[in-house]
Amino acid sequence: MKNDKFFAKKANQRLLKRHQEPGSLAFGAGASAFLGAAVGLMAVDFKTWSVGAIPAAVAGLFLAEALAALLILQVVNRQIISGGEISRPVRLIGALLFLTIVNGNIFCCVAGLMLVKKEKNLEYQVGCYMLLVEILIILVSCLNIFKPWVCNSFFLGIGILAAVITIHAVSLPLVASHVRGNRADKCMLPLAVVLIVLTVTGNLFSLLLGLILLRKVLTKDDHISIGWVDVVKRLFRSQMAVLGAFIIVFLLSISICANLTFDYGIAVDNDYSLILQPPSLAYPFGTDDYGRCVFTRVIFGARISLAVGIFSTAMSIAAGIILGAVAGFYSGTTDNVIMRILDIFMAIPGLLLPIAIIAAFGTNTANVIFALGVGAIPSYARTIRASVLQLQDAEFVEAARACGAKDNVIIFQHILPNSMAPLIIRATLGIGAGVTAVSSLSYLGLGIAPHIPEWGNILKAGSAYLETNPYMAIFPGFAIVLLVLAFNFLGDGLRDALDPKLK
Amino acid sequence: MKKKVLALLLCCAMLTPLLGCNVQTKDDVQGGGSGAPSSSGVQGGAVSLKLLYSSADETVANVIRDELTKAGMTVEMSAAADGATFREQESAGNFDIAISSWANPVGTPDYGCRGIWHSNGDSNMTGISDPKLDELIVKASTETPDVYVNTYGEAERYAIEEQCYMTPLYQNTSGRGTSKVLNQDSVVLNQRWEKLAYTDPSLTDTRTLNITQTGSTITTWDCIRADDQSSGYSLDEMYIHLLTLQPDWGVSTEESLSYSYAISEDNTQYFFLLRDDCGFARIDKDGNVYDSGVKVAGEDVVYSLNRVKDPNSTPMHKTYSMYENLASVEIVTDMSVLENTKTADGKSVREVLEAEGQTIGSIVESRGDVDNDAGSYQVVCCTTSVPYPQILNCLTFHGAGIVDSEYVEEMNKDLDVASYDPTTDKLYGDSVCTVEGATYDNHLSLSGSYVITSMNDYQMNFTANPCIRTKDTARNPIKNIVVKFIGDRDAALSALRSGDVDFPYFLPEAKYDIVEQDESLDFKLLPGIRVYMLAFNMHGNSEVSKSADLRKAIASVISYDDISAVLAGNTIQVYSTMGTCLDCGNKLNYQPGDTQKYLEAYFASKQ
Repeated sequence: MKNDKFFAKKANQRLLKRHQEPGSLAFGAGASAFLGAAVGLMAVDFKTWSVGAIPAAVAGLFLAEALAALLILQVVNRQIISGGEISRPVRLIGALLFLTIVNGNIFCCVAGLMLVKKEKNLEYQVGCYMLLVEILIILVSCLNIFKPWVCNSFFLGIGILAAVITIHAVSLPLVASHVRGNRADKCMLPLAVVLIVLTVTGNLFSLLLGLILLRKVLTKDDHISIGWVDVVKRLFRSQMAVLGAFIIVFLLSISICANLTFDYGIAVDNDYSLILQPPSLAYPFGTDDYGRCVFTRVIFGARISLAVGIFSTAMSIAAGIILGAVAGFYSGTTDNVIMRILDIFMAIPGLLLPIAIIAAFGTNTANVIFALGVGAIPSYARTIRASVLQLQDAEFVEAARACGAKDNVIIFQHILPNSMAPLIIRATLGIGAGVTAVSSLSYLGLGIAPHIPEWGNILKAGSAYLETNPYMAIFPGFAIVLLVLAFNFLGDGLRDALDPKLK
Repeated sequence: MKKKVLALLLCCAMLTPLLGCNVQTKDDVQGGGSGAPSSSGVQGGAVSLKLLYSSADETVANVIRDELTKAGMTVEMSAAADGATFREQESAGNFDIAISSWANPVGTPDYGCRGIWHSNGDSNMTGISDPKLDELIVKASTETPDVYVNTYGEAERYAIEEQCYMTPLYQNTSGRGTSKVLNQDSVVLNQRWEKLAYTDPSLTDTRTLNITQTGSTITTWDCIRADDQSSGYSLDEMYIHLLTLQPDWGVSTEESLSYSYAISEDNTQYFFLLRDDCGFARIDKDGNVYDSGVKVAGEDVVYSLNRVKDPNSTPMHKTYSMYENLASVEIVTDMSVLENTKTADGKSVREVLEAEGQTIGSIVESRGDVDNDAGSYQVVCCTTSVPYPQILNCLTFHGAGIVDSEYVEEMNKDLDVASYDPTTDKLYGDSVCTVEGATYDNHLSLSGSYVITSMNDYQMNFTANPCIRTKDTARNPIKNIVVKFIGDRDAALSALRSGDVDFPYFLPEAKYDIVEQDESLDFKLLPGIRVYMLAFNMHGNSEVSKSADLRKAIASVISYDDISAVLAGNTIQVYSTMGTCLDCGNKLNYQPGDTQKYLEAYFASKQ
């Protein structure tokens, strides 16, 4: 009977959805296949119909890994449907998928990590990503050994990274076994502190894990759920959101670690004997028209792009919160004056205001941050004002008022914390927009000085060689797209995680 | 789980020694950084420089910044958005070093140095003021080529090496990419449009040729008021000259107003035998070209050349300094002058003028009496105040174009140079007259091989002049030419490849190979006429103005090979701005240790 089959299928799907493994395996297989296909396309020279050996091998590797993940997925699905449990041998096979980290395939690697452990608490998941970030950074840094020389602090940097990886790797099984629900063992306290300290490498997953542990160690009643930890838990249910967070943390971390493991000279000093070299092991993204390593430039470029994106958004949020809160809370004339002034800012087209500001004050990073920040203030102020207007008549605000709380206490302690959700989502999307804006400004020659590595600058240099040396534009372009996408994914995930209706 | 951690640790442990034995650090390779002062500044003090450049020269600016930085100096980049801003900053002295360039379309060494090196030069923006250099330049200009090689050689050695007022970067090359529709042999250096020909001659009258130019701001169609960036190239075609410039920088009477020319023995008198088959073309209200019936005659030559050498003949006169040595221009009426004046090879001027096959029956004064077929000719004599053979090349420059004397005089009769107001006063050649639309009132009277009929924001439309050199039956220029304004060189290249244009004037240096590899295009590499120099601030308001040692220290850092490398090798090594037309045999000879030596001398002199 067709109907029976239909309902059986539905039932199976419900069964599969209860487990995390099929989802992560499917995502790993799909993403690897996509990467493999993309690399494969890049390997083909369509003019001569010849195939590059190394890219083809890499593409083959990714496709093989996708196939392996797919096969494991079939087995896992069958076991879940038939017995409801995944057998131990299958889980151990899953551990093999972890090895795919060698060629940077984090998707299969994550699937392997999720499969190998039966009981996965939030801490284990965060810890996995924390470890992956470090391993990926050490792998990327090690690409430098193919260069004629590495920077003087290279071995120091690699040593530090190796030590951090060791600590993280040791902490992974510990957090998996010493945290139960909302309570962590007291022995986790030193580990939490260590993890928070290790955030100096830029690994925000380490910070997150440390904070969660700290909170759970210090909790008094483990029956009360902790609000923000629940949000993180919901966030980690979305593969795309975690991927976005992973990319952001990776780029942030590598832009910090690069100071030790990459040579800034290779990114800015011209080398006239290496002009316009195609990608190779020593110069993975090729060299540009001045003989500088595009790969090193992209790595160092992340620093400026992220810094400008984050700081300009932070600036506009700070100003937006104050202006929006004041306008919304006091309404009347105050509201009118503030909002009409902001309307004037809003009426000036997107990039025109930054261009005017930079033209007036000159080109440097601080001015670029200021220029982009000012332009975005009105939208944040409007968001906050709308929330404040809505919350002003809420019962808890009336209660606070009745207790005689002062205006600033009501605004900053009662209203604002409850209107943060839309702002956080806006901010993640805003950072992405900031990254594209600074790249656009540099592309127009108005951002950062041309020889300083910044993604827009690198892209601009590459745009002139799009036909003869396309790699010069493809890789920085890809980096920009990746970072903006990452922020958008994270923003989407946060919106879902923070939405009370989707709890 | 434990196993995995163990395996991971093992991997790390294996990796570290592996890295240690094979990989060298930067210090291992570069010798501990003692020889590379890049991070510690120069020894003995600090050198901080402001580099001014036009944003079009960003590539070279980056190389210079890189080289100076590697030598331990601090470089502040100052980009000027366009040529006008650059010149403004340069003449105001807002720089220490500047990437300055000088184009020499005339092909004389005098033009290659006087304007920028002489203390009164009209383009001396960097503030050079040196009596010895002035003296050498003036002396060389009065000499003949076999002698002036030495004098110019001494002048450039003095300016480039001894005083180091500027130091050479490179001479450009001009890659001429054309579509296959053009006959490749017709593409030459010092291109005249008249020479261009289609591969298929039957297209000459029917197909419009599309070429490009970078500047789109046309100031004027009066040949003496134009600056070469915008309308100079077109003006070369719009007015006829006594002589034309050849691909080898020599002069000839081809496509000119003269049958022949002669030079007096003492190099001060220059005689021209004029043709009578060149007329002025005008344009009616509908943009159609017609023959005005007025012939180009000796009176027009005298009027035009007197006008170009007089700084007060018109407001915004841009070309007079080149004709400083031109004392007088007159129509010769006494045959005995032609017979008694000798040329350098002992012949009389008359014999030389008749060498092209004309027999001078009589020489006449007024245009009404001219009839070449009956033997009556007009002869014009230009006299220079000092012996100045390079005047011949100056006569090929667009400033020396021959205008319609009565017509221009009539149009400009109310002109008062002192109180000229460009917003209200109307002058001959105001470019607005050719702009399509309500203001269109094309009042030009043109003697050149091409006539502009109209223009807009995107292009200028030219038609071949139907009334010049009518007796020359072999003459068959392409009838219609459109000049498109494409400011960006890469965009011009794209337009060429998509078939929108047939002949872009400039191509980006680093992209010549794309054109060469394109099977649908022809490519020819010609030497350019522009020399790029690193100029030092000699206005006196900079450290580099005061110390020749500092200037030499900076100059010794610059490497031609590095510049050539980033410009894909499409450059020519050159010694000075005269290099496009004269090789005096000088070579720059900085040695590796020179920078330190000159810097030490500079710091010592400061204390």
